[in-house]
Amino acid sequence: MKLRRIFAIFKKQILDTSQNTGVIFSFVVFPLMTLMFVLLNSNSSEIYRMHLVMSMSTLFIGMTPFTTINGIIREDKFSNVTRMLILSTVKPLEYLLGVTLYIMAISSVIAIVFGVIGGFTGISLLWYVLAIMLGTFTSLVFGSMLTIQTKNPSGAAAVVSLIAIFNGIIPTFASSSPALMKVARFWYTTQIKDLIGDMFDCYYGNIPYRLLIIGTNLAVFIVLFTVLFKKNRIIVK
Amino acid sequence: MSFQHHMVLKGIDLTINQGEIFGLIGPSGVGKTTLINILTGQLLPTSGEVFVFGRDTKQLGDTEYSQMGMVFDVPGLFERLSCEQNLSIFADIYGIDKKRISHVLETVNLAASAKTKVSRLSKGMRQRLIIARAILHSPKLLFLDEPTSGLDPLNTSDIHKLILSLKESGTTIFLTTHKMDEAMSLCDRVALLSEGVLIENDAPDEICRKYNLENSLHILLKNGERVILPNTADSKETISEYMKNEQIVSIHSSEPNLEDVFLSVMKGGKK
Ligand SMILES: Nc1ncnc2c1ncn2[C@@H]1O[C@H](COP(=O)(O)OP(=O)(O)OP(=O)(O)O)[C@@H](O)[C@H]1O
Ligand SMILES: [Mg+2]
Repeated sequence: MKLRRIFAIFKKQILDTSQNTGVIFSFVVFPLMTLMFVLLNSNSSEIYRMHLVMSMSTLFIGMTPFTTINGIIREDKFSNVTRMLILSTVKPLEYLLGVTLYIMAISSVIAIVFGVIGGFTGISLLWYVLAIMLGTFTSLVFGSMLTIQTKNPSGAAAVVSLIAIFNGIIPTFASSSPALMKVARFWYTTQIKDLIGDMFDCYYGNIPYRLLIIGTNLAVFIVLFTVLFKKNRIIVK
Repeated sequence: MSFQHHMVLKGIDLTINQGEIFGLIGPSGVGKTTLINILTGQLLPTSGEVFVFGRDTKQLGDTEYSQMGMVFDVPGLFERLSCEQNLSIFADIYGIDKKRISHVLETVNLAASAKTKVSRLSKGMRQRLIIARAILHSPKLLFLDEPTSGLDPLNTSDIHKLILSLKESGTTIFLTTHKMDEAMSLCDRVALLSEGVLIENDAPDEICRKYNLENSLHILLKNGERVILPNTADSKETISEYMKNEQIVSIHSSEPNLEDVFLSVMKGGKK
């Protein structure tokens, strides 16, 4: 494992982003919509803003990192970029870490934007950003786990967008349906949304419980990822 | 080597010497790319052993890969980045000096397009960029899978010059091609692959001699008839007869070349 190679992949992604409007759009669409709604309802209540930021940042966590890492891995794999990188001494894990680092870096900027719109300041802003990063990271592991399996690019794209929608929107549906909530509360995006809610309410009693569920989700994804990774190694052929 | 019980390569026994240009020729689908994939450790042979730099291809690591350069029929370039950016990522990966980038772009004649996005390059420029990437880290061993396929004569000749100059500087080159003139003019040694078996493995001239494809004279007569005669003393009488009667429009000699060998092998066996 060499940092030099992880940063090379990170740099490739950063250079690519400036030429890739699709990716830029998928990163800015949720914060931009939030800002727009806030500006359109300039006399809106504090509560409205809180709910808006809560839902929008959950949508962001559930969808953007997930679809972005899927898109990057898939494109690189089917255009033989991954193969060339690996033949040039980049290890599959270094490649994934480079891409992960890149999405985490951009997401942290987006998280700050969300936090500021939501009215967080100082140390509470930091906690909020960390919560978003935890959610982003979980989505990234979940996303790579599903993507390294991909054999057929267009089929995978369809499945991934459906899962992304489910991933982002489930917590919002669940909050108005107790029956759904019984199941959905074991899913990490639901807990991230409620974690953000707790932060708004300055209520910290449930945090260990929420972190436990998110942590369990993450652990399961990591285990599944490791198994699939050993099997597939993201190389074509 | 077989894919799902379909045998593609059989009993290949081959040694590439340091510093030579080795050419693998054979018709489409015969397994040239498959052999390169095996040599570069991307495919493991169903049976047998392959060593590169004295190391089993099952165990190739950074040391070996950082001395190997590869040009494949699939490019794997970063399409939205410029030529320079593409190379700079690889320079970072190998940990080599950035100055090397402009030098390599110069070498493949792409310096003027350094800032051009890959997706806007022409086919020949693309191929030259792929070669630039393959030689960026000054590899000792270079694999070129059909390096000039689909390129115009100018691009082709530029690439040929480059290949020869790489050989001059001590690079060992393994190339595949189905252009016989390419194999003839570049390679120190060629092997013919037919139906998964290596048929010949020698210097191009040697192979031609071995197949004894005779030197012939192609004569066009005034009555429109075309005559082919062996270029030997036996033809003396016939030709002088034609000349006496002023029947000859033109005479061309044709030397045997790999193309003829290739065709005769493909049509089935030696003469
Ligand atoms: N991954 C694979 N799975 C199954 N069959 C394969 C695979 N790769 C190659 N083959 C088969 O192996 C044979 C040789 O293919 P290969 O690509 O090596 O030919 P080639 O000599 O490089 O041809 P060309 O000159 O057209 O590039 C073909 O019949 C092909 O169908
Ligand atoms: Mg081929």
